[in-house]
Amino acid sequence: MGLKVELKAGERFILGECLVTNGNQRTRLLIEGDAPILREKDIMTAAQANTPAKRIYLTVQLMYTSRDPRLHHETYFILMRDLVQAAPSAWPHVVAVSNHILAGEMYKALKCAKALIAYEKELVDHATRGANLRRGRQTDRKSA
Amino acid sequence: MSDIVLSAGVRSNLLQLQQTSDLITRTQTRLATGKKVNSALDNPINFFTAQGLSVRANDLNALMDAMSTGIDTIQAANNGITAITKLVQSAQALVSQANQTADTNVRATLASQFDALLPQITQLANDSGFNGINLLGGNDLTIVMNEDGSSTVVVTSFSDAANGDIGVNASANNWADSAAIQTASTQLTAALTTLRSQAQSLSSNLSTVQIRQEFTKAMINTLNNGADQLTLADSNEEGANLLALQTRQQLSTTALSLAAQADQNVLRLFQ
Repeated sequence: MGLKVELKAGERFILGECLVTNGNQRTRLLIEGDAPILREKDIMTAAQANTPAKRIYLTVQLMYTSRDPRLHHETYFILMRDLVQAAPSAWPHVVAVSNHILAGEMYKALKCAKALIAYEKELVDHATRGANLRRGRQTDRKSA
Repeated sequence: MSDIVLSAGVRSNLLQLQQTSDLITRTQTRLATGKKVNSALDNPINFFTAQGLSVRANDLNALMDAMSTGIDTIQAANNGITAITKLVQSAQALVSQANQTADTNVRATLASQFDALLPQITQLANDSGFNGINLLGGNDLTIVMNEDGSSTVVVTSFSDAANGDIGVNASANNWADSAAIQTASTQLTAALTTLRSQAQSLSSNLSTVQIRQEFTKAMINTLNNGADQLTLADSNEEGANLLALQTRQQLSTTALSLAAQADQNVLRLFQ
């Protein structure tokens, strides 16, 4: 059973080692075989990867789209170690990503990496919000 | 010829890593409250989870040795196939020499050399074992990947006897007629094709196991790190750490090499 992909006009996606761009109308494609497929909304470019979790996502994506995933294992582990040291509670997400990589299910690994990005955002938001609240309190006190 | 099958092992995960992940999920809710855990008294679950992580890392470590032995066994079989390929190539040289002459005496000499080569192939196949397991001699190789043995990689053997699988028969009629030489030549070509495909599947299996071994090794390190860090988790601190890490990574070479890797990938088309 192939994968159904529906594309908007001008939408792009990666199929194997090629970039496919849709023409100026909606298209429905049925793709069979096991080449890596990545939709435009799932693609992270090197420029966009500006947080630790996004970098991990980019590495997994590179493993998914390259012929030899082993090239990227080293980078992956450097990034993963850094992230786990900074935020140990991200462990379950990291382990899920690693398990999928180990089992060769790169697409699932990518999905888990996406969850990791969401979790990172949660933690960072929590920290910045907390800092803002504290700052807010201080100004309140000053004005009073 | 039975193919090498690297069965469920590739797909099956390291069970204990998953169990670990489940354990951590349970403690995650506690971590989200932002409490620090420094001793067993503060938060027994986290404390002992961290200890469990270390224990499991040690268990994994013991399995690494088994994986190394497995890799050596596959490598021994691969060496055997390489040597057998060379013997088959020498046999091919004899056949082509026989083709170039019409002298029946010369042909008979070449045929007897050819017949002498064939048993050597069998002997080589029998000597390609490591640690008592010979993939060319009918022994299967099982590599255990977790401590209760529920996750394994099985490399099924193929036998490589000269008159069996590679299908080369002894010379007929002292190679007096060209048809007999032609038969030998055809059989040898077929044998080479078989050997190449076997070598190919062996080396791809080898790299699969190696990748898995390297990955497990790195995983052990991270398990140990995780154990050390888990008891110190604090969600406020974690957020701040992440922001600091983000800045630090921007200046590090890792980010540069990552960008370079992306540039060599299909992703470059997307920029």
